[in-house]
Amino acid sequence: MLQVQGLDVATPEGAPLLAAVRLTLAPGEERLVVGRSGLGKSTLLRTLAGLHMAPGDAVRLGGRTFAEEGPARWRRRVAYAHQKVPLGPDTVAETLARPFAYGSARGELSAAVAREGLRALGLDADAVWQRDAGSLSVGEQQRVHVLRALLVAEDVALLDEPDAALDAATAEQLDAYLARRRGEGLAVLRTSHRPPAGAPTLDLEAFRAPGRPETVT
Amino acid sequence: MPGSAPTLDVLDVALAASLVLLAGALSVALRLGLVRSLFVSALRSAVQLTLIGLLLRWIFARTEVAFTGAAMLFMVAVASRAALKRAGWSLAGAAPGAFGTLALTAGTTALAASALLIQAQPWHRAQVMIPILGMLLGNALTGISLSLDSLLGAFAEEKDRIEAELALGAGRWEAARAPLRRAIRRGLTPIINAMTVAGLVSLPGMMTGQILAGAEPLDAVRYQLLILFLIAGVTAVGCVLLGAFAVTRLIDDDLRIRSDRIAARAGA
Repeated sequence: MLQVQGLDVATPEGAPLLAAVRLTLAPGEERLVVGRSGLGKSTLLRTLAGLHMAPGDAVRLGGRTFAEEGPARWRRRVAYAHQKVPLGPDTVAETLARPFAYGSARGELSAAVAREGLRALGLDADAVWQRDAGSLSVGEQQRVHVLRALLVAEDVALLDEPDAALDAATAEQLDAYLARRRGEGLAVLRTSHRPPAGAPTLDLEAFRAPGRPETVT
Repeated sequence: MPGSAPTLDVLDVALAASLVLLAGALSVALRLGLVRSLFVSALRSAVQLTLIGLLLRWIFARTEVAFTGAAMLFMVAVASRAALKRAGWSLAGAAPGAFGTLALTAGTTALAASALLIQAQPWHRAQVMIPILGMLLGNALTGISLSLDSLLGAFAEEKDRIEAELALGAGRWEAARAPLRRAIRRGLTPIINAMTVAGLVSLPGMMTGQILAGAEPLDAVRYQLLILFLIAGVTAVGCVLLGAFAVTRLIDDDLRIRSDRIAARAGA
């Protein structure tokens, strides 16, 4: 259970972005972070991953804080995927396996599970497995990158526009795969380029920092 | 030592300077607009080298070990500043790392080379120690600053790639592994090239100087090899040490990338 209680988020320069953010995310739950561009959707996800700033006591996972868990372990439990990251020069297989060689890993990556994930996201697992991940199309790279985070994530996946480079059909495949992973207990907090109909939302407009102008860059 | 060093007097140098006049005449004839900078730079070289010559004469005349040590520390300080300034990016808080790296690598190597290999008498003889340290610093500087440039460039321009690894539980060294390796490779390229072409493209400066001063060519070769190998070692260890120090500044203890500590250097 991810619990956020009274989280303030500021820019690196210290200008307040969001104030007193509240959120509870139970295992298997999904929440779509919505709000206008520039409101701080990506920054909120990055904060929960401890990449933007240390989240402090306002964020707890099963009662434990980022500091108690340690940054590397926290990020395996609460894994974050950037909207866009160039992959390569490693193969798809190496790219997916890399985080499982890190000291924070609790187990090994099952190649069968990874291949099955590629297929679920509409990729030809056999064809791409040994290809340089950097040589894939932008949409294919995004799916490999998102899958990697989903393979690592132990409790929560924070996905920043995981469908940004996907067409409608592949975005649906992603939603179906996420639904299945949620059935296994993974919680998902995401922003979306193509919001899936009916998904529960977290509207950041409610947490806009006081005094912050309505139009932001 | 076969032969003795042929000495030059001021008149010889003045005659050589007539060639600078010739270059100036060419500039006028071809309207290159270089007369002023040509003469200013020639004059600067004469003034600067004379001052350095006087300074070295004064330093070499002193025999106190503390004096040589102070001169060496000063050289390391100047070189570490230059190493940081030559990189295209600046890293806040890097100065102690650069100084420590060069003092530990070039400083101790110059000491060991002078005392143990060349066996200078006394072991801290400034006339041996200072030029060796100067050559080590001057050459290792090139590689170390290239290496730092590559590392900082990776953190500035490919931040998301590195952060994507941190985001999935990478530790500091796991996340920095790829850019650090690239940086060390980049830093070692110049000395590998220098060793590859040594003697083929041109004779290294130190060897040329020794031969002109009357040294037996194979003696000069041994000195030159000694220096090249020392430069290679200092560069390799220096790139690793300064790279590791930089990584601890670039990824903090919360395993966050500190982009706020990097800035592009204007005009670099």
